[in-house]
Formats: sequence, C-alpha cells, structure tokens
Amino acid sequence: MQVYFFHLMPYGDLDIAESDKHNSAWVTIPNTCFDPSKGMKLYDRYIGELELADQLGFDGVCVNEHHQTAYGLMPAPNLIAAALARSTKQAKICILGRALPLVSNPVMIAEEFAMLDHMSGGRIITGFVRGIGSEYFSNSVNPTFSHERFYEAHELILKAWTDPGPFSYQGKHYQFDYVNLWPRPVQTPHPPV
Amino acid sequence: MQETVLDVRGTNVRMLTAGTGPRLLFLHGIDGPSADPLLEALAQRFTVIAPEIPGFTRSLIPDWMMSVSDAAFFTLDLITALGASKLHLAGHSIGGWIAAEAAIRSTTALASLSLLAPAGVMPRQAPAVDVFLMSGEEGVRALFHDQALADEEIAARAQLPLDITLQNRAGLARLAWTPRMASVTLAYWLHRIDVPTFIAWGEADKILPFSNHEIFMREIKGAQFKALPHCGHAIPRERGAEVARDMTAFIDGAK
Repeated sequence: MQVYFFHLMPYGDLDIAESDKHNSAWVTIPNTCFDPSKGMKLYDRYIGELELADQLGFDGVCVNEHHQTAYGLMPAPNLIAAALARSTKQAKICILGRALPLVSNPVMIAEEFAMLDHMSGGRIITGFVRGIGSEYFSNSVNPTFSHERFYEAHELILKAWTDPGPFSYQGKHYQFDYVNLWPRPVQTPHPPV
Repeated sequence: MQETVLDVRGTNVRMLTAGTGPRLLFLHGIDGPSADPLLEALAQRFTVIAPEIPGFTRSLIPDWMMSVSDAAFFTLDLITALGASKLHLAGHSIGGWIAAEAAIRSTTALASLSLLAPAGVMPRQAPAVDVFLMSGEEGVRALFHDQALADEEIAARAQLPLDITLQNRAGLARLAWTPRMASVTLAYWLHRIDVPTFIAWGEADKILPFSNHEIFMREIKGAQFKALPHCGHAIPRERGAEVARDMTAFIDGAK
C-alpha cells in the first residue's frame, strides 16, 4: 500500500455569509470575495504542506485543476507541480488531473508534462479528466463535445509522448501538422497516466 | 397536428404538420417544437411544417453537424427534400438564427422570411440571464413576461419525460454555447437576405435583448418590424395568435 497526500487548495478565508448571498461558490461568485493578501499566505502555506508531506515520507503528493471557484486555487496545477519539482525530493508528483477538453492545444499539455518529468527527475504521475460541468462555463468550451475532445486529446498526448516526431495529427477537434515534442519525457514509454 | 418523418440525405427529421395553404416551414425555439398558439393560428392559413431541429427533442444530431452553419445548410437540404416550389421560412430564437443563416446562404427556395426574437447576433448589451445557468423552473420563468403563463408551462413540463428536456438543452448547447446564442459574423452577412422579411421581438425579452432587433433591421433591407410590449422571449406562447395575424398580413401584403 502506498499513501499519497492530496491537496485541493481551497480559499479557506472565504466569508461564508457573503458567499451565501450568491447562487454558487463556482463560476459566478464575485472575485471581490478573494483577498490577494490572504491568497498569498494561503499559497505559501499550501505549498509548504505539500513539501512537508514529502519530508514526512508520503509516497506522493497530488494536485488538481479547478477554475473560477473558492473551492480550489489551482486553475493551473502544473504551476504547483513545477514548484514542487524543485522543492520535493522523493515523493511522486501527481497531477490529477488536467482537464483535456478545456484546452484548444493538447500538445501544450504534453509539452508541460514532459518538462515536469525532467524537472522532477522522472517523478510525475499524470491524470486526465474531463472536468466538471462548471468548467465548461468558466472556460467557454462546448460541453456537448466534451467526450469527443477528451478521447481525441488523450490519444494525441500519448502519441506525442511516444511516437517519433514530427508527425501529423488530423482529428475532428484537433489538427496539427507538426507534432514534435522537445523535450520528450524521461519516463518510458511515458509518464504513468 | 400530424407527425411525419422525412429522410434528409440519411438524417431522419420528425415533423409536425398542420393546416392547408401555402407551405410555411417553422423552426422552433430553444425548447423544441410544440403545438403552441402560434402554430395553431398559422395553420388556419398555411400548411405549417414544424420539424425538430436535429439534436432537439427526439432527434439525434448527426456527427458532422457541429454548428449553426451546418444546421443552416441542412435546412436548405430539408427544403429541397420537401420538394416543389418556394415556401415561407420562419423561426423563433435558435430556429430564427438557423433560418437567417439559411437565408444568407440562399434565398432561392424562399418566398419570405419571418424571424421571431432570433438568436444569432452579438448583443450590444449583455442578456439579462444565461439560458444554461438556470434551474428548470427558473429557466421557464425567465422565458415569460406573463408569469401566469410560466406557471402553466412549468406544470406542462413536469409531465414531459426528462430525457426530452435534457435533449433540448444538449441540442441547444451543441449549436449555441460559444459565443452564447450568437455568431460573430452573421450581422455582416444579413445584407444578403433579399426576400420580404418580418421581424418581431418581445420588449421584455430576458434571453435575447430587445435591442438586438436594431441589427437585423439595419442590415436586412425593407424588413418590417413589430415590437411586442409586455412580451418575453416565449413569443409563440405569449403572443402566438397576434403574431400569426401579423405574419399572415405581412406575407399577404408582400405578394
């Protein structure tokens, strides 16, 4: 059995009484409810907690992706993973996960993960998700193509990691004339998904 | 009303038809086709043909239909499949957008065009509500100015199978998610519409701002406009009989 430490990085300072005036803590809750000076302290604390988990011997630390919400302050989990790549030493770094259908360029996700694989010394574990409904409002992506975009982006990323480049990828939602990852990932055949 | 199914190049289209007279093809609004007061009144003078837009109600959307542009070309194919001479094209909301997009592509088969609170142009003011961000009851209330009619509609929808409601929502999202209920370029092409055009809009429309009519009126030469005071987005239900009279008079006068 392995034990992993999963952080969701909530905005713990949310004024609940103010929040209750709005329909949801997602998408439409005004960002005036977010205090940057408190946010800076929260990021310091949360990244510190992930680093402590590494020092305490957890097998891995996990981050995830949510947008425009008090529920979590990690719209870009790869940024947290990048910080952890340098400041942690032994724990796996799990990005669970990137929401594939939300992006117009899945190759960039393949590139970022390949970079993280190098920067962490081959310690990353990747995860791919579709994202919950609110993400399709926040990212202005059509939810009715979510399944199609997920499977297509998933296929494209695995090919980008494993197939010799340059190659061409022509899908229904994603078309690339040149897929040629620099760097290729460290782990073989590719980082665990 | 009679229900039929037409094969349009391999896609089955369910249609309600009613009445006799010149043919009028009516493309429904965001909640699929229904035997509303508008269609009932139009059927007094026209052979009304009201298809389900693919993706709505019980019609699956073909894989290749990814946008209103595709739906517009499909509408022209549907008109071809219906055969014979010109017909009157009309649409409400999302259906009005598709009708306008069909008309900018070709008016060869059209005798006239009627657009009731059509989607399709980028609003200068933000809509009061987002159709996709409301619960079922809240969403119905936002459609109506007359909340007594909203009460009736809420009761009627409670009897509908849930999968039809969800299918209508998914069908609308497929065509109208981004930009919401609009096209960046439609306004630029509206000048191509060269058939008699009638436009009506509810002054209390919360879904698509009343002021959107100015863009259609500016770009479509000679279009006739009818403002509907105390009317929300649900024109066919709130003012169906009145608008049917106006449309009929307009079509008669345009001959």
